[in-house]
Amino acid sequence: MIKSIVARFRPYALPLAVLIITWIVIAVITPTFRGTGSFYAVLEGFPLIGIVTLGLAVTIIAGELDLSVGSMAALAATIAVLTTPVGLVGCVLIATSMGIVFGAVQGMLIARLQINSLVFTIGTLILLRGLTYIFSGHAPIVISNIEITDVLLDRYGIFSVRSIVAIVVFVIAGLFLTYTRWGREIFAIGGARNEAIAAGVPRVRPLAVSFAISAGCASLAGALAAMLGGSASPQNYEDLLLSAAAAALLGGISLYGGRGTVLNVALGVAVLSLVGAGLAARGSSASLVQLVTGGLLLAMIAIEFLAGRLTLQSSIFRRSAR
Amino acid sequence: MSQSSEEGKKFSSVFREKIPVVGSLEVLMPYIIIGLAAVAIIVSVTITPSFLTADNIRAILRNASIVGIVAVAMTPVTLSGNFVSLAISQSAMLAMVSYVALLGAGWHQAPAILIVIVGLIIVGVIQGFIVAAGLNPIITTLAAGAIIFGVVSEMTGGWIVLAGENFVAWGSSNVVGIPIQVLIFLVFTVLVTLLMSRTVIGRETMLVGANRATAQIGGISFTRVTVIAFVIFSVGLAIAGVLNGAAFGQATAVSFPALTIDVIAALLVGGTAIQGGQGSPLRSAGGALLISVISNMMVLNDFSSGGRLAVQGGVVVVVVVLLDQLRRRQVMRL
Amino acid sequence: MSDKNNTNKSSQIGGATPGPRLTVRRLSKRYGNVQALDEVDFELYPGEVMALLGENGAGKSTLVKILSGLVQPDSGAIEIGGRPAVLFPSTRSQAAGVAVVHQEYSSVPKLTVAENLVLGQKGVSSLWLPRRLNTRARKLLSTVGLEYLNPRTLVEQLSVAEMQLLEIARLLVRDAQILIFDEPTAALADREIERVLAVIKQLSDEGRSVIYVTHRLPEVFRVADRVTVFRNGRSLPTKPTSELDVDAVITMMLGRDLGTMFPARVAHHDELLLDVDGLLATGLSEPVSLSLHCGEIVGLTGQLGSGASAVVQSLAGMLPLQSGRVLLGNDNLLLGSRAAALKRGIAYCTADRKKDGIFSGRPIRENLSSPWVRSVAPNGFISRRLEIERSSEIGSRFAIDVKRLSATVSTLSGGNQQKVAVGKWLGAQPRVMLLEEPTRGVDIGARAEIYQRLRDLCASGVGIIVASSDTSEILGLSDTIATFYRGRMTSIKSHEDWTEDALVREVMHQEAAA
Repeated sequence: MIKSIVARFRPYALPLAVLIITWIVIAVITPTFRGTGSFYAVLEGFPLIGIVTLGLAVTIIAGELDLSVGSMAALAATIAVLTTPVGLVGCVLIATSMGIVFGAVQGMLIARLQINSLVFTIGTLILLRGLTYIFSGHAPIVISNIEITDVLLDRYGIFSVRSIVAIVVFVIAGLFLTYTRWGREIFAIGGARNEAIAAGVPRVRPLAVSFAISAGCASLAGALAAMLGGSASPQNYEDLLLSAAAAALLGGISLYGGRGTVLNVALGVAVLSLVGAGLAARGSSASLVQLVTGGLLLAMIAIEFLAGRLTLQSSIFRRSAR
Repeated sequence: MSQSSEEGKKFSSVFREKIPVVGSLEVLMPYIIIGLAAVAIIVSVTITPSFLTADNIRAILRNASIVGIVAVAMTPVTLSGNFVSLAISQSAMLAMVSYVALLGAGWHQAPAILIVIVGLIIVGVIQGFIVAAGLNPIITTLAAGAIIFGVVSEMTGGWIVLAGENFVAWGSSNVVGIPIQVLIFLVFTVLVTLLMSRTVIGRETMLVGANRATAQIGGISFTRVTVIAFVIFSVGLAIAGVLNGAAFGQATAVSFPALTIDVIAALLVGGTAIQGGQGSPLRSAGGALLISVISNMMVLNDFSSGGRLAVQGGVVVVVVVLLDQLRRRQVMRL
Repeated sequence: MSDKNNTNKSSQIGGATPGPRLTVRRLSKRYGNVQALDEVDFELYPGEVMALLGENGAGKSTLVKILSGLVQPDSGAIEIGGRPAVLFPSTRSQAAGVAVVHQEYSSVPKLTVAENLVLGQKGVSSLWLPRRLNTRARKLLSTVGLEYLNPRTLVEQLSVAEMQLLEIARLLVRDAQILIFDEPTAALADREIERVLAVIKQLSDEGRSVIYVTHRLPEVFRVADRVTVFRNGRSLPTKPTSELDVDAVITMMLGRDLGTMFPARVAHHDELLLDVDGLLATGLSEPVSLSLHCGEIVGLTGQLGSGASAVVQSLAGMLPLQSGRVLLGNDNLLLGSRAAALKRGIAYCTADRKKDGIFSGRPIRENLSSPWVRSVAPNGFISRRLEIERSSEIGSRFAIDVKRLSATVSTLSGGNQQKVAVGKWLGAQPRVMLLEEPTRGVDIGARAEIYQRLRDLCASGVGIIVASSDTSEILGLSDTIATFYRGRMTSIKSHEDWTEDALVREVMHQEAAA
């Protein structure tokens, strides 16, 4: 009984340890960063970075990488601002649907052409950024009827409307990935693509779904952020890819594919959000955050690599009958 | 495709130059790229009368130079199977900031340039060893870029770094009428291309990228190839940073904002496969030129910057897909 | 323990003979110069287990590929239940009721057993609730004797045998009527083999037809109703197992058309080149000792997992030595690194050229020169002239059209590619040449050339060790032959002391003798 519980939580041990240690360190060096205020600050990182990381993580689990998430978020922010006349919920839905459709097409093409997603999404990254400039008229655009977004400013204890939306998205994604055929197929083609296809998993659907999720998440996140801030700039979110990738890896999502849960994503986002908010509370610059993020990332993949090397060896011994 | 053992008995003893074999993509590729560039140029000339002026040509070449130098420099990394670096912008920025800072601190040109080159080589070699040990190159360079940015940003405190009063802006000068970046671009391209095609280390780089296992069984060291590739890459980054520093006399931690994307796009459009084992620095130079030509054509036709970006992205997607499909066809032939 | 010797399911008492479930008529397939299948005929009846036997390259795997829809035949007809059928692509084959248990499994390691059993199945709901999946899984698992397995276990935690049985369980779901097993017991222990055989018997009792491709004669006699032997791409007439014994089967399998494929042997020097003492590495269950003399060819042969390839790989530096000592000349060889072994003059030609033997996308010349390119690059710059000279020379010796040295190696036929894979080492002036499966997928003409070149290499004092599962190749080529079984060397004798019959028995028939 206890053994199975331990086994269940083993994959989270390292990210959890990183999170706890980071929290302790930050709390110690930043006296102002303690208590409910700190929880709120950390949760506020989820609507943007969290949702985007979730989408990116799904593509990593599928054995791919969607580099266009930053540009997608910027485009969605712009579209959302442009369509605010239809109301808060409406414009966010429009932006998100556009993202889902684009992502599905992107995933379908990547699957059909059997092309490396890295190479494909570098192109779409540039393309989407260009479209963002075009739609926004090369300048930041502002929401005209800003009052409709006031609901986003409300705070409920340590939560806000946006962070609740983020939590809901995480829960839905988690259920989808764990309990549905489509979700499990994503793990299958990510971890063992040839075997999965030999078993009858369709080649196109899991990838189309993964990229639809990543673009949809990026769009949702961008739209929500634009609604909160009241504006969208075509230059936004250039660093989003780095943060999302860092968060995914810090949380324990494996680059080998086929592994990981939304809990991993949540842990990674929490660490990143913690570092960002904690350092901001000290008055540190954004660049220091990048520095710390980069360092943590490097340490994390080194540990994962060493662990991966160890497990790779053990499976070789098991099949030594060859 | 018949090569029968019976025919092969007679042959000419020493055999001269490559005979293009129809259907062999490797041999056709340069012609494809040149063909695409030629088409682009012809279309540009027809549509835009102001295209074929000396000033415009100079502008095209100048714009292609910095991206071109770095794309050429990164090509060995890609050829060896180490994908691309996501730390391009930050590394070039590091070179530019350190060069300008050294000048501003009173150093002379030659030692300053030397220090920058050595410094970037050290940073690059560290990444090279990490990647050679087996860590994923994309994420390693992503992390390295963040760290570099963080360090430089902290050290400059967000201020602009200045080269000082004695600054000589040789970076925008011309040599025999040719902008100096273009000259260095040309020379650098020739050197790296020769290195890849004529030397042992160049051959080993290609083979390791083509099939790492086969190469290692044949005694080629992946570590050595990777580290040397990162050295070449770092030298290119240093040159780009110094050139820009020498042109503007100042630098910030956000210099070279779009370099990463532009360089990767140039490399891919040039026809080097991201998995390695196929391609050449010459092609990356061609890719940088092609993108510059297309961009220039759009500027002359009053495309907005967003429009140019969108088209550039579209071109990358289309070219990359086309090249991938062609490569796939070739393998499937068997 | 059921003995199939007395049942004959190809006819029924008191009724019309049911037609064959699967008929194959004059099926042919050619790959370049190799005629993989040559007018193959056979019939498969409901409820019967048919064993397919034959040496490597005899055509069994090509037939399996055609039946499972991976490859199309050049000519011939296939009928299912008496009606013409097309089995290409694999979706059609599956729809026709054909299921194949490959050696490479189609289970996803990171998913659970229950999930794998549902993966790719049609008609299962999209909601994968654990309870539902697990109940369904338990039912399936019990049909293959895996009822003790927790359906929540990740597949990567299963043993090889359990994965094999899981594979079978998965196919049972698809209600396949024709099941093809491709070497299912090659990597299994005795107890596990029992389980697989029991499942196969059960399948045939249910009325399904089973094709059992194997090298293991004892299993054939335990479970098969009829036997079809393949030889040189042709199928011999199917015979009921009851009419055969081991000798008869082996006789049917032998008699390969060898012609003058093997070059004449030359007396080799007495000088000891490689002295292997107590070598132990992964894949070997007992230490191995042997010696290689200058100009000698030592052949190691055995089936999958026999340990022959482990010996070659550890000598090449690919596998670390667990214990033992190897002397090259008079120097102690410290192995464990491929680069180090190469420096000492040990060449290694791998078993799978596509995986690690050639550079598919590179020109032939670069492939031929890859191990020795430094020697034609005096100051780091490769001398084009020298490289072309030496590779042309190697190329012509191997009868590769040297006007085409700039073409990519992928444009060559399999046989010529293998010549490149072997030939490249010649220019490196090795002292010892190690080869694994040197003529896999190679036509007869190319084989003869490769063998001749290997002999020529011996004449210059190089010692060669060949590991191959092709017994006739080992017999024709080697001076000394060692047989391997399940990780240990069972016998080592001069070629004169072996007959093909005895060699095949030693390699295949070991279980019955024990």
